[in-house]
Amino acid sequence: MDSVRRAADLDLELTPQPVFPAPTSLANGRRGFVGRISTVGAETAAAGGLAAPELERRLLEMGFVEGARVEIIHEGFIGKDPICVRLDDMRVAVRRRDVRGIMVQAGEP
Amino acid sequence: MTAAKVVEPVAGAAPRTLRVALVGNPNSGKTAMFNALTGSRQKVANYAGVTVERKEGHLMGADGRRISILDLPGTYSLRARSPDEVITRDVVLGRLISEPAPDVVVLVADATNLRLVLRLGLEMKAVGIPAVMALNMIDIAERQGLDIDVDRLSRELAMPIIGTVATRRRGMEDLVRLIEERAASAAPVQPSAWREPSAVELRALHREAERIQKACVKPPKRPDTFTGRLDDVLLHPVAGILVLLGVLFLMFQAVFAWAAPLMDLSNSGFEALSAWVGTLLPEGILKSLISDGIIAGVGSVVVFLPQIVILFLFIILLEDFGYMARAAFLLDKIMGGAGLHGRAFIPLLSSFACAIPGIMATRVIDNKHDRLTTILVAPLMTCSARIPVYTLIISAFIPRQQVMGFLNLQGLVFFGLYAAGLVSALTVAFVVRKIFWRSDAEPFLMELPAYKTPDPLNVLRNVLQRAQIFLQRAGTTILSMMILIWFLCAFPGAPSGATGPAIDYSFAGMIGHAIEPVLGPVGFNWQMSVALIPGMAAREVAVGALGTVYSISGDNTSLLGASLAHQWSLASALAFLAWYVFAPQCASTLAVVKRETNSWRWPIIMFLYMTALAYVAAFIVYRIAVAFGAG
Amino acid sequence: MVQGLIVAVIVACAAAWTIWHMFLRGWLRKRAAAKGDCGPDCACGD
Repeated sequence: MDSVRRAADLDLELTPQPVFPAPTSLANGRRGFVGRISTVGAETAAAGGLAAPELERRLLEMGFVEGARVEIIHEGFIGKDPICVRLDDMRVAVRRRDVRGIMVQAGEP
Repeated sequence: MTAAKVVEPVAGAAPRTLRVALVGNPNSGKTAMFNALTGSRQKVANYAGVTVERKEGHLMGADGRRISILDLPGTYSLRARSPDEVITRDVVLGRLISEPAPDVVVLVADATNLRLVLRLGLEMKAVGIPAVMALNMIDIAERQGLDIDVDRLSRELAMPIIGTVATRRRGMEDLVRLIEERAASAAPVQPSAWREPSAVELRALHREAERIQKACVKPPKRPDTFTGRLDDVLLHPVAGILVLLGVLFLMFQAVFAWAAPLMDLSNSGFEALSAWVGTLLPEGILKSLISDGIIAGVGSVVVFLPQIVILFLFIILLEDFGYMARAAFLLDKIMGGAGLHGRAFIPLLSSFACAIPGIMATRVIDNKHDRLTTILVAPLMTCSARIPVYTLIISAFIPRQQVMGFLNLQGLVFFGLYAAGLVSALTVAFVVRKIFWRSDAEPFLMELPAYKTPDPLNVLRNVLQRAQIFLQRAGTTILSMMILIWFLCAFPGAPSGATGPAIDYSFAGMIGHAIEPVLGPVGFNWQMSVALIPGMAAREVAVGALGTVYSISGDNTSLLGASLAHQWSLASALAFLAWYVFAPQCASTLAVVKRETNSWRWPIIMFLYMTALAYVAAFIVYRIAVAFGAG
Repeated sequence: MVQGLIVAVIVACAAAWTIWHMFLRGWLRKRAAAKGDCGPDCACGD
């Protein structure tokens, strides 16, 4: 496991970050948005919710990781919430407030 | 290495059972795999102390060795997030006292969707769990032209891999052979070798999984576009909702219309049985116990079996097809507004037939508080046992007239009672969430699986399993409650020369008379109060109980209706209806809540809050009706 | 008389069953699980 982690850290340092455009939160994305995840974090939702580190781990476990390709393919009918995201080759449904901490870079690199 | 080497060379002693556990992501076809391996040799129970379902089956290995298969709840990670996933983790790591660690774990993977299961496989590899991977649905992967380098994948995950199609039983013999081989070389797991991965470690694991995926899996040549195209319709803000309403309507129609002939059959069957027993036994209390207590009582619950079977048929079909997750997506905003999870609509919908399968179905909800909230409000949905009571009172008291030219007043009242149940359920859920579990809103994170054709055999097996669980409960918990309620209604008997009905002198009668002063302000007379006691057996039993207290022989409901119309005021009748919308008039539901929550706390809370709601509602309805001159 | 006896036995059985399954068994299991001496049969609920 340790060697894995070291390799990963190295990888993180070496990967050049794209310079354009500024990352936005996935929670604000509209249907048809395509991009890549630049950072995964979690904000504790205003009206209760999980502690941020726990939410972050759950998002990671569902496949929301840095570098993953995201596309918003469907929106709910009330308040455009929740959203259905194509995450690499999976489809995942999430509420917008849970993905506020996920920053995404528009466009397909 | 062959399986024969495993067998301890003890002369005459049977080799030890090989313990195998199935682990995998949700929707990986794990249960189909379990069914394919074990056929009908399976047993459903609960893990000690928790309400997680334990499914175990067995088969015979090539050398006659018994192999027991445990179907563990689906999970994305060993870091458990729900009681079900805790069980999976603890069994896999051998931490559960009541469950010895499995000799081999079969990691069931959806061959078309490997990413997340690779990470789970890496977690298992890190702990050194002896595992075999089943690349399930390999036929779909082949059809999509997905190229998987199985040898390399096997090396990376350090586990043998076999392609399977569980629904067609393809690859099962080879899988069993692999399991036996793996068991021969397996070393026991150290439960201490695992600890929760941090976010950093999770990222590292993901990267590793990503690397393996890139190295071993070429993207499909003919990717599945069917799911995407179907989703364009089924998740569409307008079309999707229309389809959902259509599905729900069809389900409702089926539960009520298709089940009706079977329910009538079951009803008349139990009546015939009761009559037949009556001819065998001499007049007396034994006959009363068997025909009035046991047969009529259990019959009044078993009559819901056709509805339960049809309901679960729909639920399992939709689940296997992949639509349930879509419906949860569409309904999440509405359910979420009431503080419920999107998935809660399944149990709530089931509760329209009967709260018992509804409460049993809350197992689809992972989070404990979400699940408890759903359990607490499920009995408020208008179950079909309320229908006979509503029908009796409405037909006796509500005039059959048209409103606004096209609406039937009786139908309108009926609809109003349904709506009251639904609205109150959502309101109570909202209040419970706001007051008790404010700080614990669960994130809604759900994979939407690819659509698949349900396997008929699999569906049939699962439906039968549900029916069996229900009948088991009817034959044990519900049976013993029926006997006790009968006892309350039959003893002590009427003294000689008594004029009133016998129930008036029984314990139930005494309780009824004792609570009458309390129920007086809501317009209940003593007959109504007494009828509530046997009505605890099941809601519709109140109809028969009213017949008993008004000494109307047989099942003549129209005569009973006429008698009630004569003796009750309209205000009392409406208060009785309001009472039945809310009151916890079902001992079986409370017993099931006790079983499902494994504590007396929740059935007691449920009983108290529902009684309070019923009282307040009946009081308000009665007072308003009296004020309008209906007293 | 005989009938009364049979009924009494059935009712007593139902009461005993209810008390055992709804109260005692769960309590005993919890105690056993807490002590850690719960055999493999423990999991066979219902």
